[in-house]
Amino acid sequence: MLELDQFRHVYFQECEDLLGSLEVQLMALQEGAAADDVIQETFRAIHSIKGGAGALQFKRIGAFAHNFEALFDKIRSGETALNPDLVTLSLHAFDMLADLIAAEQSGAEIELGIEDHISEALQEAIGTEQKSAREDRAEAGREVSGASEPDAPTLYRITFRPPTDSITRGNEPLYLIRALKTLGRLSVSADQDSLPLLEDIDPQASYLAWNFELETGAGPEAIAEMFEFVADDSDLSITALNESENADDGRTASADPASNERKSVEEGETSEAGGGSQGAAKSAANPNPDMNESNSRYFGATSVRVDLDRVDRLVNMVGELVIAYSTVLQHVDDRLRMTHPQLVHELSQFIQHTQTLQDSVMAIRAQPVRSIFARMPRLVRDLSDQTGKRVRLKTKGESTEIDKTVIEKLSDPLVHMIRNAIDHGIETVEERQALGKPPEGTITLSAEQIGGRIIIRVRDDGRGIDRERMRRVAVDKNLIAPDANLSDEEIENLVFLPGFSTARSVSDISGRGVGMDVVHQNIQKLGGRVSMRSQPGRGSTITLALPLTLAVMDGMIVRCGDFVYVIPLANIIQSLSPRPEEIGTLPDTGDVLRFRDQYVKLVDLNDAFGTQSAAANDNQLIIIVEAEAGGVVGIVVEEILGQEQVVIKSLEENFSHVRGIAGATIMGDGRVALILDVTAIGKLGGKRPNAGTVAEPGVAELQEISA
Amino acid sequence: MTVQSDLNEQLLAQTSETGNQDSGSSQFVAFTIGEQNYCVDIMSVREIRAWTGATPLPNTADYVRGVINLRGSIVPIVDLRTRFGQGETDPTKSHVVVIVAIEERLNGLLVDSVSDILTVSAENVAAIPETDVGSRARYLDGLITEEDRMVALIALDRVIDEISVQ
Amino acid sequence: MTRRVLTVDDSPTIRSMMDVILTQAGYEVLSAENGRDGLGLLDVFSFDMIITDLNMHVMGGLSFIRHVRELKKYASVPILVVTTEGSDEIKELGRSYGATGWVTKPFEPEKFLAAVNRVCPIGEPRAATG
Repeated sequence: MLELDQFRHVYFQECEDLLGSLEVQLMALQEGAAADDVIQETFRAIHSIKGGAGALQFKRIGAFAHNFEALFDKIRSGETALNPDLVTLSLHAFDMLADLIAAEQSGAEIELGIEDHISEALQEAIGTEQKSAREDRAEAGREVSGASEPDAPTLYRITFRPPTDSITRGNEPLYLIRALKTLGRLSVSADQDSLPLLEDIDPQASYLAWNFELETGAGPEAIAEMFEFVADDSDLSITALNESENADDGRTASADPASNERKSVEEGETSEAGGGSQGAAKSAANPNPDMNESNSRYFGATSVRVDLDRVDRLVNMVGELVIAYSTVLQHVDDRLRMTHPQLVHELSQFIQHTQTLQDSVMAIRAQPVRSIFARMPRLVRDLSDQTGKRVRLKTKGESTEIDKTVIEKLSDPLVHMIRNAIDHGIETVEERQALGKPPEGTITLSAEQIGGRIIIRVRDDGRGIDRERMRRVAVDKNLIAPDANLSDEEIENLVFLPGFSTARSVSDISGRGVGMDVVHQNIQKLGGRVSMRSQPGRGSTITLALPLTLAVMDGMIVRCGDFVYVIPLANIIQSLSPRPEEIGTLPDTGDVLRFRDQYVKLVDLNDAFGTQSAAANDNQLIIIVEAEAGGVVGIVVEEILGQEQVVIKSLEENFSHVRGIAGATIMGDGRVALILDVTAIGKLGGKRPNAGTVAEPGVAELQEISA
Repeated sequence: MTVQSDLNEQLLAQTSETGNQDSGSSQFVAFTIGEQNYCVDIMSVREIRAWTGATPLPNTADYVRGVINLRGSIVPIVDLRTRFGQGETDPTKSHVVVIVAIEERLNGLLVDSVSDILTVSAENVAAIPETDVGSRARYLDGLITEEDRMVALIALDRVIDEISVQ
Repeated sequence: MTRRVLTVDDSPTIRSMMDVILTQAGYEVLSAENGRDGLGLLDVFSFDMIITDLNMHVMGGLSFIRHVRELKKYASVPILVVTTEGSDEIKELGRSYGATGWVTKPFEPEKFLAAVNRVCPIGEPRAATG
């Protein structure tokens, strides 16, 4: 049985929408607008409410809605004319319906029969008496007859010739035969009389007929039901033979496609002879042994519904396991390796198993990206309609799996990227034709897993990026220096800078500049990266690289003073120990480091967080990180403690967001380390030559300073 | 720490008996900060731990000492002494953290020591006298007289609530 | 072998119920609220079976079935229509437009899956047709 409670919420939500719409329509009717579509809408709304009520067995709602619907059925077909009295009646009926639904939803009791006077009025208007009660009884009657009494196993002879077009209609006889087999013991032979010569055969047509002998206790109705889709168009006869024989008399198998079918029908069964006596014994004990088996066969049972809470707890526990084995690992040093080699060996086995367990558990929450990809075709269609461009969407790799937590956050960025592609990438039909391109533009959405990351690409075959224009806009908006020397790739990625908007299309979608910087921020928050590549005139590709899961992250553990921090490995470009002469000071920026043709702003964590180091340290280590799109910052630390996979814990769960901190993690020794938010760090404090630290809202730091 | 585990056991035992409000009396966990006695509703107390340090959080108020790892959850610790404007605690192993829950959110209160569990009937909880000035008064819900001492009842939601607002 | 089903119905309640029944039996389900969206999904993904209501906004079920049958890729895909018990007209109408069969409301998982199993069983290698 299907548990109906789980659908209550969906239904009542649907009712809310439908009642709202219904009210609007009825108001319109009251004002005299008796247009066809208003009446049709009214009918539809009531019909849907009735349908759901029936499915969820809300009998009162269903019965009441039935009469209400019937009235509007007559009105829409013209049989009954709408007049002010009927409109008034409808409004009363609407109120009653809303009340009945509200009562069902809240569990409140509504007096039985309170709706009767309206029901009767509706029925009078329709001109029918007790229709619903009659139908109810009829339905009940049908239900009773549907459940057939288990008969003693009877042998039936069945002949079946499906229509020639059976397969083209989606009725594959093979499936039918396999389904028939679930009723009992079946033997089959095919009649090839109508099979034409090979060269005349249409592979989509059905030429065969079959003779079956089926031994089953399910009764003739159950057998007939099997054929119900094809019965009208086929030659079908079902005859019960009186004795229950063993269907063991070796029907001749014809050497042709039918024999394959016969074999596959018998696959999985033990040989007739052996199975025969067992079959008889089983049938004696339980009249419907095959029936029970066959039912369980329907339920593929390839999935189990599990409370998401349980899964989350499991993931958390595995996270703890990761911390625990990190702790253990800390104790394994060279000395231990020498004194207890066997122990160390066993330990590494243990840790490997734990890592496999971790991977498997993480995979539980993994879902195919299909669920978000599936929303995109509609978006593409809506946007093509709005912009007047012709666009189609192709998808690849939709079965690639990502952690549920990542998937939900992917949806918005994907929507933005597709909007961007349609708005700025794909040209109008005329432009495309003028360029010799097919009038319909294509956007390809793909997902694949490469080396521990999920790579998602949105590719369009549009006009690509006009690099000159990009550069100009960036210079105009002071995002880069006028003489900055940027590679093609760097120019293409300017689109992710905050404040960069090339909105030149008029459509209201992109009025706000589409927000590629928002996409970038969101993806970075997920621990991923975005990049853009383009070929002018040919198209552009945006690539998202995401971690497989949000729960665990690779981090570099660093120390600054007494504090231990974690820097996400995904953001680290390089770490280095500079010579003092490589560090300079700029009046407005503070300390900078010359790194690969740029000057990179340095951020001292003590300054950023207002903490103090115990001792002054001249040997500074710098971790170069990607702060924002193209923006690079150097974080000054005192010591690199190592690299670890850490479990990410949220601060917001019990506290609130702290600027500069993305989360926390629990180190092997049980202490808490803070995970840095590298983008925010970049904005917090740079070292000043003199006292006072002030946050400098930094954007791209790609500046070349002439010496 | 024996005292701590004794108290934790008492906590468990007490809270599993009939709830507070039915019998007209309530239970409170009492603790000290300096010379003064405070208490909180037992129903909000989840456990009592010894101070084992906390990781400082930057860019937060001075009374937030930092965060600790409580069986996998990151829980902030509030120095109540600082919260009441009486300076900073210099915590040692013998200091105590009272873990409380407000609507599913956990917080730790750093106090000097926990004394015991009080059972007080509603009429014995007096209002805060108007003359009690200072930042303390904002965070108190009432005064309880227990034997010869005055125990101030902390309004947890007001103490904690402002913490989340940065 | 996984079978992917497209369900088309304008009632979220009905879509939900079909989703649960089919998913628990091991099918993969995508759904649309009307025929037009259904066609959109058919364009992008491949389906092994379609189950559709007839009474929908924007593009009704019969139009939808007709369009589907015109697509080469789906000329012979099993299509079941959602009907209520005793509604022979709907069964007939559906079939005349090219539907394969039907499923009845209110849904009983066993009967529902029995009907589905007859035209698109799960776990069986695909029959060698078209």
